Parts: sequence; C-alpha cells; structure tokens
Amino acid sequence: MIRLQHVTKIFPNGVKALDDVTLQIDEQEFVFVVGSSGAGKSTLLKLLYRADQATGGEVHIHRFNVGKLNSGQIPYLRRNIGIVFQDYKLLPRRTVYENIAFALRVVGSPRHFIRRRVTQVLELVNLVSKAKHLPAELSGGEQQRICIARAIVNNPPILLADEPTGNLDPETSWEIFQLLHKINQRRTTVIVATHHKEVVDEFRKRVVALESGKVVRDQQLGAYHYVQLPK
Amino acid sequence: MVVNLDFFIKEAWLGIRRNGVMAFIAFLTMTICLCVVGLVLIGLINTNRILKTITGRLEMMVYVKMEITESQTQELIQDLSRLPQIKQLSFKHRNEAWQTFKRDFVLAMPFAGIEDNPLPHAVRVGVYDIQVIPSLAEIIQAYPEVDRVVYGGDLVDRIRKFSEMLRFVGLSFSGFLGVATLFIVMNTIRLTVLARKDEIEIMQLVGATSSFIRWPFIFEGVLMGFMASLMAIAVLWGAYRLFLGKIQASFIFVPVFLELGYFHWIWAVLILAGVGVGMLGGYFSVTRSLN
Repeated sequence: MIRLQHVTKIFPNGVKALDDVTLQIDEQEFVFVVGSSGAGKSTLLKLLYRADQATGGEVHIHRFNVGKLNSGQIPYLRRNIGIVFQDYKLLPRRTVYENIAFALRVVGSPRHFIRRRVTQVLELVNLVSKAKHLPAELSGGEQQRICIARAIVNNPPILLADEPTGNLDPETSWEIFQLLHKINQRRTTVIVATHHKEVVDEFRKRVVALESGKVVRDQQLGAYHYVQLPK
Repeated sequence: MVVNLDFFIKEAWLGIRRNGVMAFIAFLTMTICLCVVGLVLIGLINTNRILKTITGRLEMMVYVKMEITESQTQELIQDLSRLPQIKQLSFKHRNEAWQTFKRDFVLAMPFAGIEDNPLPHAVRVGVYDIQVIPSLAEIIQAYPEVDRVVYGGDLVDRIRKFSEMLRFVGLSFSGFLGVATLFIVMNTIRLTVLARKDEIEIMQLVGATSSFIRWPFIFEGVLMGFMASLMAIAVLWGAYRLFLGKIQASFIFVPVFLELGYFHWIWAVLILAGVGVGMLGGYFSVTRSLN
C-alpha cells in the first residue's frame, strides 16, 4: 500500500512542484496520473522511489517511511519498485538479455535463477527472439518492452511508469499499455504518469489529475478529463 | 559477494581496458613509487644490520709495536687491567690474527705471495660504556708499547646518522609519492566511473547497494596495484642481480645483506602497499558518484 500524507515538494529555486498532496493507492490498483507538463506528475513518481525527497509531509510504501530512509536503505525500497522510463535507460553496450539480467545480478541472484527468470520475462514481453540483440537494433516500442521487462524481472509489487509512451507512435503506445495492464492483472500495483488521453479514456481506470502540484481530481473508472459518472 | 566475484573482476578488467593509456600511466607511476619504497626498505634493513654488527663490537683493538713480544704484551695487559673503565681484556696472537685475516679475505686479495706475517700482537679491550672509548683510547695510546688504537665508535655514529636520515628522507619521500600515486589512481578510475555513469544510475534504480556498485571499481584499483607491485618486484630483483656483485665489492668490510631470505617480507610489503593504494583509489573514485 502506498500512502502520501500532505506531501509538499518545493525545489530550491522556489518552484512548488507538489502542494499538500494526500493520496492512497491500494495493492494491485492501476492508477493513471494525468496533468499537463509541469503539473507535478514526474515529481510525484520520483518521491515514491526516492529519487527526490519531499520537503513536507510523509510518503509511506509498505513498511518504508520513504522520506526517512538513509542512503543505505534506499536500495531495499527500490527492490520493491520497478521503474519504466520514457527514454528506456537501456545500457547501449549490453545485449537485451544482459540488460535484463543486470537488474537481477545487482541484487545478487544466482546464475541459474537469472537465466530462467530472464527468459520468463522475455516471453511475457514477447521478445525472446531479440535476446542477443543490442538495444540500438530494436525499435522504440521493443526497447520500451525491454525496459518494462527489466523493471518487473525482480517481481516487484509496484511498477511505476513515467510517460512510458512519450516517444512512441499511437499504435505502439497501445501495445505498451496493454502490456502494463497485463502486468497489473498479475497482481502488481501499476502507476502510470501519462499525457495519453485516448488510452486513459479507453482504459477506465482510476485517474488522479494534478494541476500546479495539487490533486484536482481522483476518480475511479475515470477519463483524462472530468466525466460525469452515470447515475 | 562470493557469487559475484567473477562479475566484479570481469567488470574491473573491462574498466582497465577501456581507458588503457591512463591505466598504463597510473600503473607506471605506481611501479616507480613502489620501487622507491622498496629501495628505501632495502637501505634501512642494511644500515640496521650494519649498525647491529658494529655496536655488537663495543670494543677497541690495541695493536702493539712490531718489536713487542708476547710476554711484554701480557705485561701491558696486567697494567691496563687496573683501569676502571675496562670490562675485559684479551690477548690476540699475531699468528692467529693472520690466519683469520687470510681466511676472511681470500677472495678479495691475492695472499699467495705474502709469507711473512705483517700483523703485530694485539689486545682486545672491552668497555662498559661506548662513551668512554675516545678518552680511553688516548690514555692507552700513551703507553710506549702501543703502536695504534683502533675503535669503531666514530663509524657507528656516522652509520646511525645515515640510517636516521634515510629513514626520515626515504619514508617521507615514499609517503609523498604514495599520496601522489593515490591521486593518479583515483583519477584514472574516475574515468571509468564517468564512462559508466549511466550504468551506475541504473544500478541504483534497480536497487543495487552502494557497496555492490563500488566493488568493480575497487577491484580495478586492486588489479592495477597488484600488477604494479609485481612489476616493481621484478625491477628491484633485476637490479639486485645486476648490481649485487659491485655493491659487495665496494663494501667489503661491511656485511651487506642482500640475500633472498631478507627480501621476502619486502616483497610482501610492496604487494600490500600496491593493493592497498589501489583499493583506496577505487573506493574514493566512485564515492562522489554515489551521492
């Protein structure tokens, strides 16, 4: 379970990125975080995996009081969170297989487990045939699927995706969202920050809308823009 | 840790290969530094040995004139025994001294042609305190039978001063070089760190601990340090093989200890120093990127 209580983030230059955000996300939920650029979507996600720290309020993820973690505890928080980036952040000089195996290796998994598990997630994202390729030899959509595979290879209970389709064409974006949905159905909490109106409207999941750092709407079965639920 | 050992070492070797020129420069500086440390250690061992040998002989030799006979020398011993500074007196027959001399220096000089013993009788004088030697030497010199009084006090003093100087200059120079080397190693590995900034970031994002991220860089330093210490040992060993003969020839009266046995712990110290400096360099180079 993820809980934010009166969370505020003011950057050193005075910009208020988040303003008194209180939010609870339960296990296995699928949440879209929407809003225009600069509304605070990325900042919200960064506070969750402690790439940034709130200047006020508290962030709790399971047993972690995220803001209070010292640098030695952060890795253990992050092993509970898979992260998908807009720019994929794949290592260009390593093969697809090695990129995914990397995430298991750094947490000290034994080699035979790594081999089995990497093959599993490659099957899930449907890219077993590209295992020996370098990221540059793949299309954008394929690279994003590898990034997702790497994010879930540790079996984290939470998956965060920050504009995962920002660099992709509509059709490919659909595939990515389908994949995220599939992962959610395998009992992973998924939080997606996105601009992708059509997808949000189609999926009808919980929508949290941010505007100038404030939550202006938090709606189950929501759409990108406010919709009146039928009575 | 054990599971990942091969991963760390592979990554470390990759790091060295990726910035070969800098790694080679760091390796050379380290080798030179370790050679200097090795030389200082060898010098210190030898001066200490020499000092020990000489101070072990806190005594002087009184050589009587050639015409003085054995019984006259015995009388001189009786006279000298009344002096309170003297701890011990012993007679050394000229024939015995000649035998010893010929045996010790048979390699250094050709004695075949010399049949007559050129040495006088002598009295070995042991004292309680090294301080009294110069004044006692003057008193003994005044006896008419005495030709010459020889003692090593002055030499002892000079070697001690040399040893102290060597320790001070040598060790501070080694320390200075050590710090300089540390910085060069740090900067070299820093290049690898920068080349892998993205990897480090991703490692952190997927939950790698700081120590896990550090290990490949520490291994890189250790690998460089280890290779440099082996190189330094090879250089010192080669120099030893080359110059040993000449050194011993010019220090013929002084024991120079340049045998392999004494080198074992110098080699150990050099390997430890190289590996240690490399380790520190690796550790510090990556620390800045982790925060």
